[in-house]
Order: sequence, then C-alpha cells, then structure tokens
Amino acid sequence: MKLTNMTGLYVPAKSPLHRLDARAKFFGFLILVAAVILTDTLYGYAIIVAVTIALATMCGMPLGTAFASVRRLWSVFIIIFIMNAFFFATEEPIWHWWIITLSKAGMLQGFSVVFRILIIMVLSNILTLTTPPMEITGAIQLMLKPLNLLRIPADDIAMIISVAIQFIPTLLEETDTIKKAQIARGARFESKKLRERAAAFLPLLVPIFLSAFKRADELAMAMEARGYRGAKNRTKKKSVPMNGKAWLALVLCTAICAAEIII
Amino acid sequence: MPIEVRDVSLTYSEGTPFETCALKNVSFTIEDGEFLGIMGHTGCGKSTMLQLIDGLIKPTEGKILLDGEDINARDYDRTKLRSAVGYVFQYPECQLFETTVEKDVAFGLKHSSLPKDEVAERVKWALESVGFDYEKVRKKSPLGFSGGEKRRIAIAGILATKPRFLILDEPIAGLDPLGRDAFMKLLKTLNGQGTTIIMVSHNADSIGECTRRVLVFDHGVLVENGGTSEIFSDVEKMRSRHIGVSQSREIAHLLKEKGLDITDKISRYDELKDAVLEILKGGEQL
Repeated sequence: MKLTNMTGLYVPAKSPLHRLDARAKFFGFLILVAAVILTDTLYGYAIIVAVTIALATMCGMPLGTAFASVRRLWSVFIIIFIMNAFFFATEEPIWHWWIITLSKAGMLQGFSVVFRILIIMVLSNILTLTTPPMEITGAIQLMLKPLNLLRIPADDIAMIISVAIQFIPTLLEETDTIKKAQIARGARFESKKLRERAAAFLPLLVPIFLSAFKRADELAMAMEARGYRGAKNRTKKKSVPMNGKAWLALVLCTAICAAEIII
Repeated sequence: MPIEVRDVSLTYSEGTPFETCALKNVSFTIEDGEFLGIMGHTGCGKSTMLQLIDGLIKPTEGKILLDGEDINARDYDRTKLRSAVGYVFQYPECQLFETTVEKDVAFGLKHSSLPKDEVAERVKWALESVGFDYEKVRKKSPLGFSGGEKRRIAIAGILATKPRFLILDEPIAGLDPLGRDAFMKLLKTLNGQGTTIIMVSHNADSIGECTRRVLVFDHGVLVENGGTSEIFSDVEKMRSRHIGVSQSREIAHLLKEKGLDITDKISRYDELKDAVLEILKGGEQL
C-alpha cells in the first residue's frame, strides 16, 4: 500500500488536464519533447519553462508533485553537468589538465543537457499524473498502428503492454504480502552480508514467479473463454472521437514547437 | 498481559490523496491460552490488525506490547517476537518455495540454534499433525501437491516453530468440509496444549464452535469484544454487520421465534444440544 505514494503515478482529480483526451495529451507530450530537444536559444528555454510551469499548475496539484521525482535525482544531474563541462572537446579551454578540459562550450553543453532532461522528466510526470495508464496505452496503440503495414503485430504488442501495465499494482501487492509472510516465517531480508542477502531473496522470487506464471495462464484461458482471438481488428468499448479541446491542445503544442524552431 | 493493543490507529498513505484510515483507536488484550476469534465485513481492518500484532507494519499511533514490551520500540529484540508469534497468512500455499517438503517446513527453524535431530523431529511432528505421512512426503517437491495439501504443508511450516501465539487469517477458506473439520480439530488440540490461537474467519460456524471470545471490527473500529455466546446472542445486530451467527445459534433463534423458551447464550452445537435436551426434559416433567 505504501507504494501508492510513489511519484509519477496517476492521481485521480478533475483538472482541465485530467479531462483532456489522453491521445491529445500523449501526442502533445511527444511534440513538446521534440520542442525541448530542438530549441537552443535563451528565449526558447524561457518559453518552454513557462509552458511547463503553466502545465504543472493546470494539473490541479501542489506544484511540487510534478517536480518531486526530479528533486531526488539532483546528484545525477550534477554528474551529467560535470561530465559535459570537463570532457567537452573544444579549441579554447579555460583550464586544462591531463585529459580534463574545462571550457565555456562544455559548460553550456552540460547546462542544456541537464535542462532538457529535467524538463522532459517534469513533462512526463505531468502526463502520468493526469492520465490513467490504460489510456496512455490506448494512445501508444494508436501510435503503433502504422507498424501493421510492416507486418509487425502492433495490436498484439499494445495488448501485451496494456496487460503488463494492468498487472503491475497486483504483482506489487502480492510481492508485499509474500515478503511479509516469509518474514513472519523467519526469513531475513535485512542481513548485512551480500551472500546471505542474495540467498534471502529466493523465498521471495520463487513464489512470485510461480504466481505470475499461474496468473498468466489463468488470464490467457479467461480471455480465450470470452472469445479473444488475437487483438487484430478489435473495437473499443468506448470509442470517442477527439473533441475540439483535444485538437486545440494539439495545435497549441505544435505552435509552441514551431516557435521554438523559428527562434 | 501477554499481548496488549493500546489505542492503536493506522492510516495508510498519510498526506497523499490515497489517505485511508484502516484502524481507529483500537484497544484490547489477548491472554495466554485463549482461543480468540476476529470477525468483520471485508475491508474492516481484520488482516491489518493481525499484521500489526506480528510487527509486520507499524501503527500510526498507539502501542502494541508483548509481555509488557513495546514491539515497535527502537531497542526491542525482534527475534523474541518472531519466535513467540506464528502467522499463517491467507492462502499460505503461495509461500512455498523450497525443493523438498522437508526443507520448506524447516525453513522457519533455519535461524534457530536447535540441533539437527531436534529440527527433524519437529518437522516430522508438524507434518504428522497436519495429517501427512512424514516418510512418504519428505523428499517430494512441495509444489507438486494439490491446493489443499499445499496449504497443510505451509501450515506445518509455521507449526514447526512451536509458536506461543498462532495467528491465522482465514485458514479454512477454500478447504473441503472434511479438511475443514480436521483442521479445526487440530487447532482445538493445539489450544488444549497451551497455544494461544487468534483466528480471523468469515465462517461463523468455526468461530462459534471453537472460540470463547470474539472481537468484531466494523470500518476499522472495534465494535464488539466479549464472550462468543454473548456476542452471538444478538442475531439481528450480527446480521446487520454482514457477519451472521453460527448455525447452532440460528436454530436456537428460530426455535425461540416458534415460542420455545430457549436461552440466547448459544454459539456451539453442544450448547444447543444441552439446551434442547433441557427443554425436552422439562416437558416430560409437566
């Protein structure tokens, strides 16, 4: 249960972003990611920051929610920045020693890489916070559709992804229960010695694998019993066309992306 | 006071939109040698209460004491708690993992300082008390058995540690009637030998037959705590809590509705039998 306060998981609410069509959100997200990658001017950065903050406020949660997972990764960002700043090959170094070269170009490069990762992470957090996982897979399915032309079973892949995503909470809960059951039986997961710790995971891994396989078997049987014959040409129970707001959101995202390229 | 639960509250995912209150201000004690039943509608906090007693989760507020010591205190020696309490989870058959039945049953004794022959002795005793032929099953894989058999193996694994307190979460759900009777008989025997038993069950019959005291939970609140027959005496209230009463109590209730002068303090079959015989005898005298 304590896993529910993990950052980046869907939080039900009624904000405008929650109500927006998931397909629009997903493709809008991809377009904005493209914008983040394509821009490299100060104005471009300013615009994308403004857009991100606007979106974070729109999702109806405390501003920190969308940034929470980013805050925990600050050390990674510092490492990325240092790697770029010191190992960027350039003609005009500020300071040089052995293979390490500090340069202005490298620092700029480091800044822009960290900045881009940061913004993309926040954007993806906003997407997952406001969209149920099943709707995201629906959007992914739409995106994979063209692959059918290349004889890649896109619908089956989408079905596999959606089943996998659906079972994550169930498996997490089961892991938690089995872990508790084994602790109650005297299993020790907190041992300091590495060998003992690795061995201690056996009582956890075997039952989880067994139950996952059993579940997969049962699910496959239940699906076939209800007439599942491959995902091809399946229709949706709820088939809603994109509404005006969804198109508007997509147009806005595209406009932002275009603006970033032009600037 | 062997086990004392003092003003315990538990809130899941505090401070997030998922915040839910699982238990509110629960206090009760469990005496040595008791056979205690815990009942309640699905999601009322029964399993949470059991996990709190075994120290698997921590309460948001309140204390749980074992022999007067707070089990969640920083300097508390957890091995004391682990050796005193045995916990049979719901569907314990899912926790089997070893290559042989013998090894799986002995798993809980791995960290104990018992000599080898004593461990073997305990494994044999545990497997035999759940109705297996030790020599026949010891070298087999526990995963090749049927669901009911696997459950008995898993329970043997808990019994082998000879806990003072045995906690059971819905132990008979999904067992066939014969297996159920055999299992309840085993619990009674263990209780007779001095093991304190705490059992959660939806099955009012097994609660009525075996327990002397019952706790009833409703939406995380402890609403009843008293003798089994006292609590079963109010049939309507138990029905309104979606629990119901044992069949023996149900029959006594129907007899009373038909105008018979029968006591309300009945939960077990032998109590019903005695009461009916008493009335019949009285009739003869008239």
